[in-house]
Amino acid sequence: MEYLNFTTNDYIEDARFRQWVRKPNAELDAFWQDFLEKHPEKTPKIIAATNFLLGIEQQVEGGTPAAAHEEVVFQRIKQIIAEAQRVPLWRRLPRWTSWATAASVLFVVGYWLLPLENPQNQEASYKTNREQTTLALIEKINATAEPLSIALTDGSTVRLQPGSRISYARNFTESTNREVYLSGEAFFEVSKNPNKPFFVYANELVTKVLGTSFNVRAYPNDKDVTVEVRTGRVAVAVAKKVGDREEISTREREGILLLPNQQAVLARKEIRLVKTLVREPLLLSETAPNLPKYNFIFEDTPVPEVFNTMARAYGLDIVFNEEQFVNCYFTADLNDVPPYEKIDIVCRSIEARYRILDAQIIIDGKGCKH
Amino acid sequence: MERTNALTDDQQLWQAVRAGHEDAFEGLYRRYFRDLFHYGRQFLRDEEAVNDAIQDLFVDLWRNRRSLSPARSVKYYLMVSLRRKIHRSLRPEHFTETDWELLPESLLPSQSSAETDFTNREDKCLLTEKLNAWLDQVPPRQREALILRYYYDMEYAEVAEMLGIKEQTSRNLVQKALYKLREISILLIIIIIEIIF
Repeated sequence: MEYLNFTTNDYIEDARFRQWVRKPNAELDAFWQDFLEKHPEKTPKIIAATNFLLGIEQQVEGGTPAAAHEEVVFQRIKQIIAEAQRVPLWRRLPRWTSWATAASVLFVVGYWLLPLENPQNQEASYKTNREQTTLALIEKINATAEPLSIALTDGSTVRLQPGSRISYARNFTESTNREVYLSGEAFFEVSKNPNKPFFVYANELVTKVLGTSFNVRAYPNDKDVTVEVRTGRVAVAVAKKVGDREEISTREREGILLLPNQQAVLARKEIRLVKTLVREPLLLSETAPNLPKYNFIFEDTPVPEVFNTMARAYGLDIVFNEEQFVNCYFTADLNDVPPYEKIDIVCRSIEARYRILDAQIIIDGKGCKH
Repeated sequence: MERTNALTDDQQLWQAVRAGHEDAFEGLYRRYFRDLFHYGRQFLRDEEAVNDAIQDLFVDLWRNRRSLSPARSVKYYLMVSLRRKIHRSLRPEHFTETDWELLPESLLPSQSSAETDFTNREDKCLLTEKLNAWLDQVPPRQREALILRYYYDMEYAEVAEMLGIKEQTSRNLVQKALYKLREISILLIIIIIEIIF
């Protein structure tokens, strides 16, 4: 780039220059400030080009704040589209269920766009969850292609995935509970406050924490709602409205406790909550530096001790018959091997197999000969 | 670098809208409303009329989302659609188009013309106001070409397509406008020097 030989015209024709003048970022600012310092003789031309571009900007934006109209126009657009949706719905439903028809139409008018396949009165969606509260809510939407970080006033952070949205009380720290409504997917790092539990409402699932980090996945059209725990302890239960129905069992209603590396999956249609392990468990020492670091170099180590080491390092519950494996010994360096592979390698060396049931790892095998 | 990222974002948003995602539709609207509003105001003084045109644009976009083709440039598509909508709603006499193809060569600038000279940063405000006043007097199509190029960052080929002219003509149009402004600015500098002395 021959910026040194540029005329004023050349500067205004340069896209990088234009961006620096109109929408600078740290990188561009550093570059051009540096350039001006090193070549002060170009200053008059650069100033001329800058003033010209700013003049054009004034000319275009002159006086009228567009922001004032943005919301109003969008509401009108939503309304027109919603009204247009009513017509096909009327034609679609069979004539004999006139009562059902009326109920469905009410729903369409209430919310501007619905996935028409889902029976709306069965499920708790983001929208109906938000209606539970009388507090004024702020909503953040991630309409970009990258995750968006949001800082809450209590010190918690939320990393919101693309296509997701989140709502919370305007005066977040002043309400009795810390409550957040999620549609889509987000990773939460919740600041510790034993006096104010943190609740995440995501479709039919409610997650309660005091201070921890976890991921919630609840897209509107997903069949499941998933919560994965990274650190701390998390309690998940089915939302009260849904849990109050007769056919829901105690486990779903009262909830289950998740520890690090555990996840809960709620099958939405069946309202069945399943506890299992996350796909990629992390070493507890990775997320909490004050915990001891374990060494996975084994030399003629009794297999029960090997399994216990793994259980402690990852916070996993490994279930096996001690007596059965007392004569088994294991030798290998399993550092830097992924967790499930570690277990698999040990199992294959003693002709055993592992399975994951309800967030426990169960080892089945015949044991070893003397 | 920035430009490629913005384009990829746009492509993903566009795809999501075509697939019927309401959030992407809202995201697209919020990303471009202001640009479209300012652009519409180049043609219509009445803000409500601009709002109406943008409203129609997005309602139609959603209604026809399934039949939309992948957009090469989402920004360009939205702007050209808005322009078309506005022009269709205006009566012919409100909007005059000069045939720039027929411009005599002598009226087009040569390379050796004097440089734009806004060298005094402190007088920037004063100069910007004067610049505005003079830009108001630049013929509409020239002003539009300038704005499309230097505010909306369009390539000359896009400016040409937007205005329905050849690419070379769009370059000439822009350069002619710049030439005119340079003339004006020299005049302004003289005025300022007179004030100082």
